[in-house]
Amino acid sequence: MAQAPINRTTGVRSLVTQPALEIRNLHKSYGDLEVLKGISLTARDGDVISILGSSGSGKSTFLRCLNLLENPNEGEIHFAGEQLKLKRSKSGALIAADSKQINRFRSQMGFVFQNFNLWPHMSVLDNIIEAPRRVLGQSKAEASEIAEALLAKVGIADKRHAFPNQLSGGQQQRAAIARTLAMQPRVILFDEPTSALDPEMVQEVLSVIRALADEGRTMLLVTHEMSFARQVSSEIVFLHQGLVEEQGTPDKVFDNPTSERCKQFMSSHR
Amino acid sequence: MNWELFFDKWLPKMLDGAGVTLELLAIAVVAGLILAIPLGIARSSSKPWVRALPYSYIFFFRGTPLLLQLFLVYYGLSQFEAVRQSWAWNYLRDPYWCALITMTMHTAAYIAEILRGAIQAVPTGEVEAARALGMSRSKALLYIILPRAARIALPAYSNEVILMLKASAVVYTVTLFDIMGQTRTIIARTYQAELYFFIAGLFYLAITLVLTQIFRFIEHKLRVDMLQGR
Repeated sequence: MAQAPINRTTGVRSLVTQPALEIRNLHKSYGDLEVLKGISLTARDGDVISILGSSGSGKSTFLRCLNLLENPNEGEIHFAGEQLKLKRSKSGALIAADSKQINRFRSQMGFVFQNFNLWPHMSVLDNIIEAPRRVLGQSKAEASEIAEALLAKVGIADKRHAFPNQLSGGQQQRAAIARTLAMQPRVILFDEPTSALDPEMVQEVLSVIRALADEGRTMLLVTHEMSFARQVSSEIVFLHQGLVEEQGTPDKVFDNPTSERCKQFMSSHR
Repeated sequence: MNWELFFDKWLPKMLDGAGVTLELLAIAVVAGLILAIPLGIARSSSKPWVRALPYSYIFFFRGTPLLLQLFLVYYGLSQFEAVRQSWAWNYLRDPYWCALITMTMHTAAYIAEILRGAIQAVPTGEVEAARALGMSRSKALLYIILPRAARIALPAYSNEVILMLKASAVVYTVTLFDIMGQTRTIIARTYQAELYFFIAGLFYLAITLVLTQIFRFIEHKLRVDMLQGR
């Protein structure tokens, strides 16, 4: 933490120390089952942090807590230096205290789902322009222009008028990524973006994510694609039973893990 | 069979009756839909005190026959002096309005229940996607959930409209001359019961056929076919 990170876009070592996203001591329980037992994580601008771990280690739950798709029981979330206001609900979980604030946070914190969650009654283009129009107040023409560029970027410009279920899984996920990008988010959270895809479609989605990493976008990525995580990440976080078991650069976590559990995991996923 | 009399007198009467049936039906299912939207939204709320009122409304109107509801409005309300003194009497004294109000409130209960089912059938992930993009609860409802639920509900709604067409036949009991009302009048004059009941049946069948085509067209326009599994 001694050195400020290098901004990948400008190549300049940033002296602004305000992290893009900072999570402190996040806890989450389902009834008696404690899924997250106090996780802290800092993402600076340009960081690509991959979160690894076996099934049930709490990776997806952690990611979903960051924009309150799940409600944590304890913890603090700071986004671009601003703390998310939380209050305790009757059930004991923390919920947003200020709905305007959480909506603003969410609009700047993209989320890509495992199952894409495109809206099947809208064309791909309409899927992408809906939120920019309704949330950011863009005109249809303005939003469409941006959407066309994003569709070209993710390589499905020819599918703009297609409906989601006319697309392959890989194309749907790329459309979902374009939908997220249309909000111009400061941070993008990927929740196992390739886990619902047929093997031959994984690469087309990974190459889109890789391109985003190369642009210097700040991303948190929950994935099972080990070699991909190693290539694109600036940092790897290994979760085990709701705790950060190992954390560091890809080389350190993959080649010289200190924890026994992480060693086992890495050797079984070569 | 006197064809001249049939074409000059009885067929126009039947067509008048069809006009009354269609008018009652069209107004009731559209007004019922408008009434059902807030009912259905409230009915699918997670808060019990929001659900309670639409639940009671739906329970009453689905749990009792349309004919009974019509009689309650037509014969029942006029028993109250207060009703006869109020402005509402201008409408409630008229069997046409009684039938329209009853049909609207009856179908609204069924449509509300269809909408509740449709709203709850919108996949959670699609709602999460809307919220994760920063849409507020109400924006997600207006721009994503309701348009999506409308497409899920459409086949059931078209079914409800056709059920209401046939249920509307009860309005002849409060002196309205819909298809059934006209048919019975004609039969009283001609004594040709089987012929005119048969013709009345053809009228209902023809209307059903047209309604089916209209809804097929709307389903096509709304791309309901795009919602089937991948």
